[in-house]
Amino acid sequence: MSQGLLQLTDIVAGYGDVMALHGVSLAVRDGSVTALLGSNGAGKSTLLKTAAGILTPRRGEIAFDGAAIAGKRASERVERGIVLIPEGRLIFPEMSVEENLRVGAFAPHARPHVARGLERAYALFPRLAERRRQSGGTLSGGEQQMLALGRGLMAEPRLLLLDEPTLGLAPLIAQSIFTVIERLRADGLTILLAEQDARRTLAIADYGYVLESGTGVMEGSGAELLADPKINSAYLGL
Amino acid sequence: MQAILSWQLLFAALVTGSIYVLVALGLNLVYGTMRLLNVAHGDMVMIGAYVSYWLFTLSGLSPLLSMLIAAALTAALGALAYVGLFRRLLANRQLVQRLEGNSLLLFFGISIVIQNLASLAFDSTPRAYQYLDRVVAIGNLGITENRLAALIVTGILSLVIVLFLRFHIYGLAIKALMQHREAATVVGIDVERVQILSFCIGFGVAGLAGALLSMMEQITPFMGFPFTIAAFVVVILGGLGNLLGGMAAGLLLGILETYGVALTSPSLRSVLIYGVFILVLLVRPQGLLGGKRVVR
Ligand SMILES: Nc1ncnc2c1ncn2[C@@H]1O[C@H](COP(=O)(O)OP(=O)(O)OP(=O)(O)O)[C@@H](O)[C@H]1O
Ligand SMILES: [Mg+2]
Repeated sequence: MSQGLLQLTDIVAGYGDVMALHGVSLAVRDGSVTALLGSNGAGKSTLLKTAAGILTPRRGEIAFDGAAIAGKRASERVERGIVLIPEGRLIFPEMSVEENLRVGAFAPHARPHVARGLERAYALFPRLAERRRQSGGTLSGGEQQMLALGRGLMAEPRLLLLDEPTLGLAPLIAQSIFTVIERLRADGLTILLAEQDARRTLAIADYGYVLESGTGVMEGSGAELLADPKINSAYLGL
Repeated sequence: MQAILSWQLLFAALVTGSIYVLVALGLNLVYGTMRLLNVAHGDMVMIGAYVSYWLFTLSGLSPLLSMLIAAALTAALGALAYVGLFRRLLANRQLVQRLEGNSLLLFFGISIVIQNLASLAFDSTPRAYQYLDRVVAIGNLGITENRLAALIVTGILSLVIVLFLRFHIYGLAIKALMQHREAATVVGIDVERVQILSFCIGFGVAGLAGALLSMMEQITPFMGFPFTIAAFVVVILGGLGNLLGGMAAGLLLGILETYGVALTSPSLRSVLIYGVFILVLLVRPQGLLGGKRVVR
């Protein structure tokens, strides 16, 4: 396996006594978009939360930019540039859109760049600029996803962990989120993208992993996975 | 009836209310960020009051200066309580299951210890001192200087707190942690640090309120408890975890109490406060103001 910006090795993790990952390894190359595929409950979110430091793995190693970080807290990982855009958005409902964005720059390295970050977030999502004084809880699902993305970008990430960013969104809005992801990649961000929409995800991914019941069952370039008959039957419904 | 409409009474209500605003803030912060029920909170008011009392009596230091010492001391006690006790409580999986109840018992014990230590050290006779006790006339309103000073200080401090919560990155982080703990972790907020800060601000502001209070009223080792109760009433009134709602509710309780006492009798003061408490719990348990649900 090639050395990556993020390298997970033999991760065992879960909730309480129930493990959701049973020894998963994965590498995300610098500058790539890496897809993480799998059906409901396969362990995608668990993997991303483990990488972000929200969950502590029972076993396994996590390396970022060559340094072991398995013991680091979530805030320290954000300081190193690992930022999770969580499933379900997790917006602060009673803070305004702008406050949500500002607090995204909590990490010390991001704090001096709040003004630049706000400008960039509003340029990327003009809808947020229109709603900057509105409280986060009053936004639509699509707007909340934009806010979650914008808030994550405020932390000046090097690696974005995106957990089902288009879940439950109207097709047009989902499409615009994918456009933003491609734009971010073009700006040099590295992205690990968990999605159920395998076809569209593999179309923009350089590389992909498939999880099944907490175990990695397949990996390959986007094109390879797209052409694989098993993937086709399991995730693309062809 | 004339007395009820006087500026005098309104001024008294604002002074009482503004003290409640400061005292209740800390209770709300510590509950909102960590779900800890601090029934020893009023005792920080007592400690602050004694700090200013002794510094004034022994060295003549103005309470308007010693309030900073009182705040620093109680803030340090807050940090100590967090690091020594509550950090462990929060980290323990079994204890966290019944966090509210466990914290209430712990703080109750702390409160008893603090009150008894204070009465051992200072005995329980009520104490007071005279400072800025001239009456100044503003129009036909006659007010003592120390009350005016207290109102100015609480007003400025409240404004600073509002601005802090609105603009400072740590103010935003406190609100974020109160609204959504997991999301706060996700965006990289140093939860540990924000929790210590909540203890320090909450305790420190209560200590400062005590210092101000010592200029105006008699102090005893047991003066804290009524403030704990008042703070709980304010926090329920403003909506648990709603900091700005709590500040408005503090003023409201000051007004209700002062006018209620003026209309009835001073002996009914606690009946009034408990009455408001029970009424709100029965009629609007989510709080009079705000009334939004807090996401855990
Ligand atoms: N908070 C939790 N507590 C206990 N079990 C959980 C929790 N979250 C997830 N699980 C379990 O862990 C397993 C993996 O879940 P995970 O959320 O990682 O899957 P996923 O691939 O992200 O699925 P989805 O596509 O539905 O988001 C599932 O069996 C799930 O039921
Ligand atoms: Mg998931």
